[in-house]
Amino acid sequence: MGAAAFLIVVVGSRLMSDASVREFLRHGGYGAKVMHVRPAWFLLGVGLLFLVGCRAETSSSAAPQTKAASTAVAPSPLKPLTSSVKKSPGPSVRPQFTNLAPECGIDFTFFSDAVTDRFFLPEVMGGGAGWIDYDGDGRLDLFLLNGRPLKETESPAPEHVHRLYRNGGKSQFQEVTHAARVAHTAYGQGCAVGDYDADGFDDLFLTAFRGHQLLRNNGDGTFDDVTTQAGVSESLWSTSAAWFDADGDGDLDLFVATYLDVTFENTKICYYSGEPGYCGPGSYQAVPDRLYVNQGDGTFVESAESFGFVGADGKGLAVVAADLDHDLRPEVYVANDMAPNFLFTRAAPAGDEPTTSPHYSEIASTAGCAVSDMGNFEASMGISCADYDGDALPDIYLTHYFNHKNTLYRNLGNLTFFDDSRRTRVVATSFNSLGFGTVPLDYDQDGAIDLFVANGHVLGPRIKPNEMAPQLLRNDGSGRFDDVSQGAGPYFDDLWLGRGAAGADMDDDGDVDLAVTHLHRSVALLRNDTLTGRHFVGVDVRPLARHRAVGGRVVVTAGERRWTKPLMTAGSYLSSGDARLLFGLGESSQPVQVEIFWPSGRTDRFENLDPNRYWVFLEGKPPRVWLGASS
Amino acid sequence: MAWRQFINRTAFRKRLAAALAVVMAIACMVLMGLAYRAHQGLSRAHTLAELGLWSQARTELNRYVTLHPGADQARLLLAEAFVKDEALASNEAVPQAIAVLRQVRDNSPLAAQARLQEGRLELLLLHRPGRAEACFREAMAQPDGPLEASLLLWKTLDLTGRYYHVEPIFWRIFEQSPDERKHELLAEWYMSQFYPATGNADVQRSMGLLGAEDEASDDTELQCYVRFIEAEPDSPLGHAAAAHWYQFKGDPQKGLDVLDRGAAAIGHEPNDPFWLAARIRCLIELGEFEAADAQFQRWPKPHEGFEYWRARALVFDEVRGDFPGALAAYDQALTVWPGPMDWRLRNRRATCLTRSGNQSEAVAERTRAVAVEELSREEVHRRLRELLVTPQAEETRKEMAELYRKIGRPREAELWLAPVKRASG
Repeated sequence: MGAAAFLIVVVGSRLMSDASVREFLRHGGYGAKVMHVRPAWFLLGVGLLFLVGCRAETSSSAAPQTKAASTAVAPSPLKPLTSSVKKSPGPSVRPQFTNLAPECGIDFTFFSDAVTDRFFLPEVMGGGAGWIDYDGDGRLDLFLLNGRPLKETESPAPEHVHRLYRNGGKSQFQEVTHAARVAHTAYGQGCAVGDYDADGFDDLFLTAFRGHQLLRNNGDGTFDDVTTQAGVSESLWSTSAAWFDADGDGDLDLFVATYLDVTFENTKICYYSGEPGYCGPGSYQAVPDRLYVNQGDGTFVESAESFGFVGADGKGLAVVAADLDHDLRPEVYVANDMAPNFLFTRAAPAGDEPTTSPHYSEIASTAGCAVSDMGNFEASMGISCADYDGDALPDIYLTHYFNHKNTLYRNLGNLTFFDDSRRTRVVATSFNSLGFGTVPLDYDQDGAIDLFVANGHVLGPRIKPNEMAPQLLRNDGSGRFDDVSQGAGPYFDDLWLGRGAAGADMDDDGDVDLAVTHLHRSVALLRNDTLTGRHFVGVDVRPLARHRAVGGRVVVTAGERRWTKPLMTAGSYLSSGDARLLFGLGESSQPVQVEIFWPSGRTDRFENLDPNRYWVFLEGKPPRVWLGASS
Repeated sequence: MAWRQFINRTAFRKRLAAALAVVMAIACMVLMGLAYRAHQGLSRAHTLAELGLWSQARTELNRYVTLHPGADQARLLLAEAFVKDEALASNEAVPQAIAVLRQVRDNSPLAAQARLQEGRLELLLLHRPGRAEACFREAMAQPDGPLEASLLLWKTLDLTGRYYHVEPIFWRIFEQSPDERKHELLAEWYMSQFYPATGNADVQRSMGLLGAEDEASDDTELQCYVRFIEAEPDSPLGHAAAAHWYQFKGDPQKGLDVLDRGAAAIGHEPNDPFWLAARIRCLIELGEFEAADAQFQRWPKPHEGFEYWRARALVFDEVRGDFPGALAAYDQALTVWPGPMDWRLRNRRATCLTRSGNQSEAVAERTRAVAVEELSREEVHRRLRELLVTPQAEETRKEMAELYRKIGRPREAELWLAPVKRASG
């Protein structure tokens, strides 16, 4: 139609070559039909087109510069960003991670129940991992989610159970699944670790494709399934969850990100370049997220709507709870898949006490962290929340789909963000991968937060690329990232269908190790063996309420350098990491100052704390050195 | 002496004079015969052409133009004969046709036609949009520049991803076209505005770049660019168009690789704005800010148009952190088509406002961006495309006018609605 058709010609479908020119001519091309001008009016100069037209008419590794932390950072016009940022000269120390899983007793592959040509979406989502000191011995043990036959009419085999591995120290793990009574057989997705009953032992909330579960830690090495009696039983597709004190009453409430309404009845098959594959979230309806409010008596009441945890079209895969604006209260950020992300913040009128009239508002759009700077909503899978640029404010890194950039939302204070993915080279390091779990870690202890990203596609083996290499991204101190995966160990040279990732200092040596789950291959337990020669300080914060602190922040100062980390929970994808905070101190071996801005409003400041050890801070009490795991 | 006596003889003189006269007469007759034959050659060539005897026609025309160096009309026919003569290999024929057309001088009354045909050959047969564009522009610059040259230039710009240069060309075509055809042009303009890459399937089919049954898509768009690169490796156009495509698809590194290979093929870094824009965008995506700024500083004059203002906005915003400068550039870009519909750019302006500390205005701008994005949704345009089957229907006209009104394009809105208003008195 239209002007396109004013044109002409003939020709076959091939690119123009000798043969196609011949073909063109054979069909009368140039003179006879070329310039088959339509509409005819266009031939107002027809007499002139005596030839063609007429006849046709019939047819650097610099140390990070940190700014002083402040309790309320007002947004202000930024200085020009570092347009002169130089390329990083490369890591000053070579990263080295060793996959201990094969040798330390962990041999576990998530049972996805992937059936050829069924293309039932839950099959490709994988399962998460959680670090939890379930027996209170001071060592972090590893919990791994497992799947089961997705058709509930099919009975799960004995091996279709979650796994709990007890950390025996010296990189040895022993499976204690049945002894600990965690062998639940729902189709597991993720987990959230938190002491909801404040008995001193972390409990487990397990998300699932239909039938999430609350396991209460009895403190004797066993768990009880209290899902029903606690009032959190629901049959929906939950993915990631976060324990935090939503109403300020001192106990932990539970936010649960939910994904899609997918059943065997409404499941669909999509085609990619003619090949069948899994349909994405655009093909299904969203399921509203949940907020289970702790009643203090072991029961919960679902209160998402009344608390304001309501957002349109939330297809949540990851969540993080952290104080993003330095008001000590945690915000909740939800990564939605192919839908705008959510940022819930507690709206409190001036003078309102924190414990009254809790109401949250969803402000991601106005805050600038709902969609990319181009206005595109992205396929958000995982979250890594940390202060990447050293301005004391936690930024938000999100993993996204293949050939789509990952995104780094830079925090400007006062709950304003902008997409800073280009300057930071987040775009450059992400467009060829599809990221899921992601963990902030300072692998080289230089004081700049680096990133681990687990990658892998979702469309199945017929569509390439499918398996992908994981990434270790080094922060040069200015918030710019370079991929330093090559040479970081054999694990990084291999291709995986990476899913969950959880960071923890499992051997208490002052650096973050990683548990990474995959589809169709065993979990990896990556011990950080990077030889840095640098220093660290570990901070274990325990509020009066006896549960893990969420909200507020910790500031560590060593000489002229200062680092700020939020007290947060969740993040990554379907996974739960170490609650302790690790600060890389770089070359500084001098005593440090630690300031704790407690969620309660209290501020503690301690001077002259020796580095290269963990310190335990009980709210309102002097710190003590953590002496190591009990035998 | 005897000799002199001999030639002095009167009788001999007379004989010689007669012989010379005869020779001259014969020469004149021969010349007249040749002229006559040559003259007849042109009409014979036309006859042969009509019979499809292109080799013979070519022979006649070659003879004719040799004897008539100013016979540009014959050159146009000769060019056609070259292309149609199956005795010639096509890779020889088309370049020879172009060479013949090039012999038509710029001051010839047929120069516009010659350039138009040359451009047509370059675009449709040789797939060299860079050369084609130059030809179309030369044709348009002639006093009687044919409208078709403008039309083909429009298509060339769309096919190479430079749809934002089309607007002045479109209005020129529109104003010079008869009223009864304007509704078709408006429909075509809509397709060019909203579907520049895939809305030219007929042209792509004409070029052999798309099968008769194939639909234009993002992939075929890239295939076009690849073909342009193959056909015209020394032009920045194909490389830049492919680089823009890769950048938009989320692979700026591949975009940059294409440009690097292009620069190697061309022998230097082109100073072409389209090229520079592609390079700047890829470099910014990859976080190579210094290099992006250096490229921007090479931008040739004139400093105008959507491409320039967008590049300037991105450099000032992302690279230099000069937010007032960036906002001014965003404002300029948003006024030039496709700025009014570019909700992504509007979102970037909102981000710039956030970074400059103007959060309330950022929120307002984001709201405006969402409103524009709503008007870009496929559901909206699927409906409009269906309506365009009957572009003169009142319902079509009203809905098209409404779209243009909402996006702040009163001229198109009024043109769509004018017949409805006239009909209602």
